[in-house]
Amino acid sequence: MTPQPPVLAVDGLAVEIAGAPVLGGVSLEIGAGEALGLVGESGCGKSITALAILGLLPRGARVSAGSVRLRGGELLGASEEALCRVRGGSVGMIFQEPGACLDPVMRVGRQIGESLRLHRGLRGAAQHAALRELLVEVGLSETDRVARAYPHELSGGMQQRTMIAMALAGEPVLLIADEPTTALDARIASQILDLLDRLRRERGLALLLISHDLAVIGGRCDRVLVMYAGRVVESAPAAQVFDAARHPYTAALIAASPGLAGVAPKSALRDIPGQLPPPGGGSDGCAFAGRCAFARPVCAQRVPVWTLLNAARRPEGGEHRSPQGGGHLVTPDHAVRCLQFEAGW
Amino acid sequence: MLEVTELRKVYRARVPGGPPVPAVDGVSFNVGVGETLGLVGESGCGKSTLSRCLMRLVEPTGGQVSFAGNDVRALRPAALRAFRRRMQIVHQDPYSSLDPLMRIDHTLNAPLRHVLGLEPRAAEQRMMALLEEVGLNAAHRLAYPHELSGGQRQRVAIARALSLKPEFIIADEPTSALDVSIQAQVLNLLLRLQRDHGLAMLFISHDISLVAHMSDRIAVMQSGRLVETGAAAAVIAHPQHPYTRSLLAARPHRPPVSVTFPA
Repeated sequence: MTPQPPVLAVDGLAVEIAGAPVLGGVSLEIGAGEALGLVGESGCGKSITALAILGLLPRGARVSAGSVRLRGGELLGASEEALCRVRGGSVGMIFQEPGACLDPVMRVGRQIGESLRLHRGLRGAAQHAALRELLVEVGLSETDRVARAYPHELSGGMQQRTMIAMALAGEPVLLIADEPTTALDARIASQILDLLDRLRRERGLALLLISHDLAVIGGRCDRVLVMYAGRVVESAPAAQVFDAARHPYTAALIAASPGLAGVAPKSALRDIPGQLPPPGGGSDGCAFAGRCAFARPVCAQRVPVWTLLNAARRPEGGEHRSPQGGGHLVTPDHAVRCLQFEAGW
Repeated sequence: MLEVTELRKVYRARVPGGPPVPAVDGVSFNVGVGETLGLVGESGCGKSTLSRCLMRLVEPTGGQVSFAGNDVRALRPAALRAFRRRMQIVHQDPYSSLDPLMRIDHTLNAPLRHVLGLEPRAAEQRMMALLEEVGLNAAHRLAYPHELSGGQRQRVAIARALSLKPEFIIADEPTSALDVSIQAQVLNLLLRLQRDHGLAMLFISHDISLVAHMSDRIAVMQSGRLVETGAAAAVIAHPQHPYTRSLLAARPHRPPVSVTFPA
C-alpha cells in the first residue's frame, strides 16, 4: 500500500515580526479524517501558525523559513490568486468571534451563497439546494428562516454553525478552527465541538483545532501539540497528554487548571510562577527555563531538540524535524523538547 | 453576613412597547462570615446584574438585601458610601476597570487618602504593604496599566478592593481574561487573602469547575432564577436540577491527573 501524502504538511515554519522570531520552526502533519490539536497560552504562536499556513500574516510579519504543503503542493510563495482559491475553498476557516466574521448587513444565506458561487460555481436553484443541504448538515434545520436572517438575529452558537457551513461551502479538505468555542457558553461549545468531530469523520476532513484550553482539545483530537513561546514542546497522542504529560510546561498547565488538577477544593493550585515571555523575546536556551521547577543552569544555554520517549529509535533530523511522520497522527509516538530527557542530563 | 431575599431587577424593554426583561427574577440566598458562595451560570443569566444590585451599582426593582443587619436598599447616600467600603468588587476585565491615564500609585492612593482619610505618609506605607500582599513590588507603583500584564493588572484591582479593608468581596469572573497559568496565580491569591482576612466572597463564573474549586457553597443561576443551591461537593457529586447536570456534562471528561514535581 502506498502511503497517502498528508493533507497538510508543515515543515520548520518560522515567522518573524520586525526581525524578532515569533515562531521558531513548527512542523506538523495532518492526514484525511485526522484531528490535530494545537494548544498554548496567548502569544505562544498558535494563531500565527494558522495565519502563516493561509498566507494571511499581518503586515510586518513574514515567513523566514519552512514550507507549507497542501496535498503535496507548496503554499508558501504561491500567487495571491492561487491562495484565494485555497482560502475558503480547499481550506475552510473558522475563527473565534463568529459575530465579527460574518457581514452584519448581509443575510447569512447570501453570505454562504457567495462562497458556493465563488468556489463551486453554483447559481440559482442549484445554489439554493446546496445551501439548504449545508445548513441541515451543520444542524440548522430551519433552513429558510436561518438563510433569511441577519447575523445579529442568530444566537452565538447558530452564528458559529453558520460559519462552519460557510467553511464547508468550498468542499474543503482541511478545516482550520482557531478558538472556535472561546466566545461560547460551555454547553454550546461542547455541541460545536461535537459537530466538528462528526464532520471530520463523515467528510474525511483534516482538522486543525487550535485552543488555549487543553481540556477543550484533549478529548477531540488524535494528537495534541503543546506550544510555548513560538515552539512546539510536546507532541503526544491525545490520551497521553493527560495521563502521561512529560514536558514540565504541559504538566504544569494541567496542574494549574482547577478542572484537571484533581486537587481538593479551596486548596492552593500549583501555579506557574512568573510571566509568559514577550513574543519574540526568546533566550538562547529553553524558553520555559525561567518558570520551570526542574530547570538547571544548562537549560538557559541550549534549546532542547526532540526526544522520542516511547521508542528505541531516536527521531531523525535536527531542530526542525517533526517526530511524527507520514501524517499518521494515531501512531503512539510521544516526543518532547526538554533537556532532562536528552542524554547527559 | 449577607442576606438576599426575593431580589428582582426588571429592565425596561429594549424596543418601545416590548415586554420588560426580568434579569434577576426573585433570587434569595445568604453568605456567612468568611464563606464563599459560588454563583455559576451562562452568559445572560443575570449573574452580573445580581452582583451590581447587591452594591446598588444598579438599583433593584424589588426584594431585600441585608448586610450585617442593615437594609442596603434603604441606605441614604452617606450610609451607602460607608457600606460600599465594606463590600468591594473585582471586575472581570482588568483592562477596562483600571483608569488607563492613572499611574498605579494614584489608583491605589485615591481610596486611602480620600475615603480612609490617611495622611500622605501613612497612605504610602499602606500602599506598599498592599502591593506586597498581592505579589507586586515597589517598582510597579510607578507604572501605568498598559505597562503591566493582565495578571499584574488584576493584582492591582485586587489591591484596590482590599485597600478599604472590606469584609465582603464580589469577584465577578476575575480570571476569565487571563491565561491558565496566570489564572492559577490569581485564584491562589484570592484564596490566601480570604483566609488571612476572613473575607466573605461571592465568586461568579460561567465555569463550574472553577466555581467548584473556589466555593464552600454553590448557587446555579438560569434565566434570572436560582435553580439549585447547596454545598459545593454535594452539588458537583449529586446535582439535582437538569440544568446543573447539563453544565456538569459539558465539562471535558478527564480523570484527575497526578503530576509529580520535584520536592
